[in-house]
Amino acid sequence: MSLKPINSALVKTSTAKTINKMTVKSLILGFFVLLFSTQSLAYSYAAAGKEPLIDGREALLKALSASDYNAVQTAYDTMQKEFIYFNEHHGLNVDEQMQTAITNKDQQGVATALITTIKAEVMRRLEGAEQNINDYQVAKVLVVKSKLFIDLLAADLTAENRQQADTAIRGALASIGNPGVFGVGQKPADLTRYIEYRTDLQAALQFTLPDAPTK
Amino acid sequence: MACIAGYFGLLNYYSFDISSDDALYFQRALSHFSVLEFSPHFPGYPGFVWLERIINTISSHPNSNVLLSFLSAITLTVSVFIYCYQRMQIKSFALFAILLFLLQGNIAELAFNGLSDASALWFFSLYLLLTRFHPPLHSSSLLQPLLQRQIFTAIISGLLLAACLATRPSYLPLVASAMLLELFYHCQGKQDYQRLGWQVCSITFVGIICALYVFMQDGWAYIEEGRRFTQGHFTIWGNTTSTTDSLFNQWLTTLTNTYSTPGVILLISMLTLGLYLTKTRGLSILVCCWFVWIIRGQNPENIRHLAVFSLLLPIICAQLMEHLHQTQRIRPVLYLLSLILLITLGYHSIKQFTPQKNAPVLQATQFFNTMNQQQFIISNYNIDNLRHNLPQHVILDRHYQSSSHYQAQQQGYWQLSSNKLGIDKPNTGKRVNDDLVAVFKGRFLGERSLYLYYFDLNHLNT
Repeated sequence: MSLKPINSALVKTSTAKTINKMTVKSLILGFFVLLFSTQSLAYSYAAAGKEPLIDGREALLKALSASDYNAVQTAYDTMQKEFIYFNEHHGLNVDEQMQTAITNKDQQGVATALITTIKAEVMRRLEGAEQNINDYQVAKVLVVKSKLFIDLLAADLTAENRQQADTAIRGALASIGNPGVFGVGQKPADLTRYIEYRTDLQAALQFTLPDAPTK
Repeated sequence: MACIAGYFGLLNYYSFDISSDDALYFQRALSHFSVLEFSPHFPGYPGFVWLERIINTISSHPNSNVLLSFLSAITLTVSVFIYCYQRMQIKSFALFAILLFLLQGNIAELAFNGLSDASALWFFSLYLLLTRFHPPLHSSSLLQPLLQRQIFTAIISGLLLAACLATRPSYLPLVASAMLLELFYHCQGKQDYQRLGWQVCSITFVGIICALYVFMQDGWAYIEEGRRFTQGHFTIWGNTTSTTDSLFNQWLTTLTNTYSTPGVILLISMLTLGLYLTKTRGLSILVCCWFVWIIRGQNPENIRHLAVFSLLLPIICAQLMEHLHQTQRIRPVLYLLSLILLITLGYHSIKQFTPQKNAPVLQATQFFNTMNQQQFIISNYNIDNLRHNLPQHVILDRHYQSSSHYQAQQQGYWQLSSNKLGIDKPNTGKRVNDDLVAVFKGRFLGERSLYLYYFDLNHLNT
């Protein structure tokens, strides 16, 4: 998912275009999945698919394990845009932190900047969902995808925080409601509860975006 | 019936555990349906979810999906008996068919996997009870009541096929080949196309209900998840077989693992004979169609995809036996052949049952539950199940291999694998298997064992 600023109109327009472009393709692909649907051979179905930050993280940590800082720089270059985005739009200077850490060959600094960025990615998506709470398609996908990033943070959270994060994400998903069909089965979104769960998640991750809403 | 009750009574020894991530997703769907939230996973299997909810209402069993697959395996066995008795009218051949059915090693796996295979096949078996894959015996000049009855059976058979698809959409190739075969055999006039039309209408009707149900929960976000799942299927989890052999060779290996080499030779011989005999040709063609399909599009590491064979091969064998039994002089050979087939399949499957009551992932959970201190566990199988059962430990997905190892290398870590690791460690003469701590054995054929390794902090240097 690209890292364009999330505002309601832009997201709606881009989502509509995405749906139009992807619907036919997805239906065809979906048909084949119905045919090809098998049990997982290995790994979780929750594997994120193509996410620049996740793919870049994989390459970066591989290079970091080998203390190959040229490869670390190359891996960082592939996802630099994601880091710059947080500086430009949320006032979080993770790009500068990361570049400094790579230059100084500071392993811990690189890891810390990466973890901070993943946490920021989670909260950015949660806030994006909050702004689009009445657009079920956008809100639900943003929250569901944020769960994939939380799973990557498992090793950096305490057991208690992991459970708190899990409960918060489930609560956030439930408070988005259901779209229903022609009004049947519709469940409206509950913004107040959503904000409570979003705040719980902030506490679990021990991270708040600098420009996060205070209410 | 005593035979069926006895077999499934013995299987009751095993615990009704959630043994895979897919089964966990079905269990989640008991309380909340959302494909986006893996409750269950794409494409949704609404038919199976409705059925497990009915079972849950009656039994309140927490793993109602496993209970449902168990009950479906029982009813499937009964269907095999009824089908054979209906067609042959001789109980001994029907008994032979269910013995052959039960002695296949993968029936226990179908009963305990908590997935939709057995339930969908049961609907398909009911459809078979209503269908004859051979030319009609009566003339085409039908009376009006008979014509109306044909419409009724067409709708019922269509609804059964629709239920099969709603329960397990990936049986579409099986359903499509059965419908085409039926049309081919009965291609006598307008009423046969009408029958096909009614069947298609029934399937479409149920399909629309299922689609509305899925969209009611997830809306257009379902399409987004379908896209992600599809891409993932073809690039991540659908592409992780442990060998580079062709799919055909991998399936041959799976077949011999399931039926043993002599068993496969005997069954292929039976199938070849079945193709020559009018009475069994239809079902034999269906078996061939399914084989063509699975070598093209199914995962050879899951023997549950052979479930269609498990249903059809015993029926074909029993019908062949009944046909050949009419020739007096070959009866002794026939008895001998039947005995060899039963012993070969029975010996091969029975020796693979193990005394463990719990599924391998539950055995692993029990192992880690004895540890109070947080552990790092990297796994390539049952990730969500482990996360669900072991919240106190860190579970890392081996798909993200580099990052998992980076995170775990700060301290010792466990590696849980569905296949035995056998690669020498770099710069050491030591093999990885020297670090094998435990094997959590599968309980029967088709349930994968899990291998547990421990790598200490300095394992890369020692």
